[in-house]
Amino acid sequence: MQLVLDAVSYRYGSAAEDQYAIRELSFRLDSGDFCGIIGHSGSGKSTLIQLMAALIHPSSGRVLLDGLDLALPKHRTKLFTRIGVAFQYPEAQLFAPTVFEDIAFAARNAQLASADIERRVRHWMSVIGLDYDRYAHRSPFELSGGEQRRVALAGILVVEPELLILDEPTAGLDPAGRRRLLQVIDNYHDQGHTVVMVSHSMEDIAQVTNRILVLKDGYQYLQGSPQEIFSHHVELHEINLGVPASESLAASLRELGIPLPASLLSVDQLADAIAELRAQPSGSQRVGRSVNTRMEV
Amino acid sequence: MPDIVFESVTFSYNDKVLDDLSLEINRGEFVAIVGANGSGKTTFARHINALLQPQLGMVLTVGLDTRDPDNLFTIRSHAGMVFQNPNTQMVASVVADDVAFGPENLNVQPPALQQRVKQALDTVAMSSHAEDDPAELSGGQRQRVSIAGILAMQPDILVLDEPGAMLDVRGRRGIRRIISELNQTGMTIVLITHFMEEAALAGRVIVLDQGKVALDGPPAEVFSEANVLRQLGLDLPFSSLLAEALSAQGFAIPESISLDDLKELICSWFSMQ
Repeated sequence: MQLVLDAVSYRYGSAAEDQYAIRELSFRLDSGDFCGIIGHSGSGKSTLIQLMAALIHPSSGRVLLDGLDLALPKHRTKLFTRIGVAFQYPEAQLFAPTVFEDIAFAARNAQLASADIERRVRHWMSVIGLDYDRYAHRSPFELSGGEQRRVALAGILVVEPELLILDEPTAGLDPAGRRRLLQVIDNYHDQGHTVVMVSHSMEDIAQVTNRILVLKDGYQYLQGSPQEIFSHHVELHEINLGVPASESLAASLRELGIPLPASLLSVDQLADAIAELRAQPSGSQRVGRSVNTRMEV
Repeated sequence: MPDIVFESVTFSYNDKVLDDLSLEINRGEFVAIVGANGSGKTTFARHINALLQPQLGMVLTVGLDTRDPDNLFTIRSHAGMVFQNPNTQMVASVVADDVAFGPENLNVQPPALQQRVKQALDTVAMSSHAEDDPAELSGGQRQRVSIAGILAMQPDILVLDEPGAMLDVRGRRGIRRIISELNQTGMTIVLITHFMEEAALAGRVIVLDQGKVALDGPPAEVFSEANVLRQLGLDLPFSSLLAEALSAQGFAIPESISLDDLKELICSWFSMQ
């Protein structure tokens, strides 16, 4: 699978108003990518994922899936079996009388055999951690918010899309629910699928993605690996984005002259780097300047 | 008399959500309520302004029994509630009208009404958007308008149910600043949150588990209970996680250390003697 955005712009409102949600964006997504999209509210993230899923079409430029222009209806046949999209708060779209029927819906639309559908629903319910016998024939509306979120995700994964697009998948979940959902998504990626995830959580983004696209006012602002992106403190700060907490502390320690390596994106990476530095003979510590121990964060 | 009293409160849907819960919150306290999904946080919050009434036990808000229908109006004018999703809280197509909706229902007349609206919008830094359509605002701005709509009713107690869950970093930061400022004016704040960094701003953190109080104390004290928090499926704040990781590397770290102190300690290891 390869998804190419070729100089894509998306204009909203009338032509005279000339307002763009996405401007001249070129971007390529390859099989096996796990791409994070970040940018503050209004930067074009949600528009971009709708363009990627061919739910809306560019005002100019093209979106190509394996070379085929998705603006043409004939190239969108059964596209939902290839590209799955989980919008924000996907549980708001649950509708069926039972969990089984809700998860099975896309599989039925894909005209899969009923034995296959049941096998798939069982499989995905076990992946998301809902016991089939206990939950399959209950109403999804009796479940907790976290469980509903997972049912909604299973309803997308049931046709095993090659490309899974998620808009703020963990918003509003408690920490355990968030970890669990990220694990499901991470495993799906590990099985060779391509994933795009929009998130406000830099911790989540740093934890699971292997490349990041930063949007600002509909433009591509930065693009690169998490290590590259989160070394751009100043640029990210300028557009009101943060870096993971460990890197934020590491940056202020570097500023005080402690020569920590760049881009320490997790607590463990930071603790390891501090321990390693501390283990070096003190003469070899290249402390830049005398350290003032009274400082602000 | 404390602002909020829960006395042996039990409430069930199918399962028990609040289980013989007792606690008190005093005027001017800033309390963060944390807990896993299903721990009873939202049900707790909805008892404060009588959106729900206890099936067993009693809730007193500003001294008034929430089970007495005659008290509802007074209770709700004293205790205002902000919900997670700002989109579901907008009632008007102009920001100022939206903010005026609450006080109008309290029969506040012009020009006092306009003064209240202006003051509320000033507090949340949204005055410049008074004439805008809420639909054209960002999520964070809309949530600030929701808060202004409550403030215009001049409540003593502000209850916020995960107000930052749908917002970006900047939006959340704005809400946090407003909450802290309101608390400094003496308003009682009850903040339900999944963000431990946010809970750390409160003077008191209450951890709910299966409708009971699992932990209750100042943030540093609550966050030093790493094992309990983990068992309940909760995160630890960054400072606790780093302290733990450094301890595992053999460094001696004092218990319940703040991020500032931790940073100072790390610096001391590298200071040139």
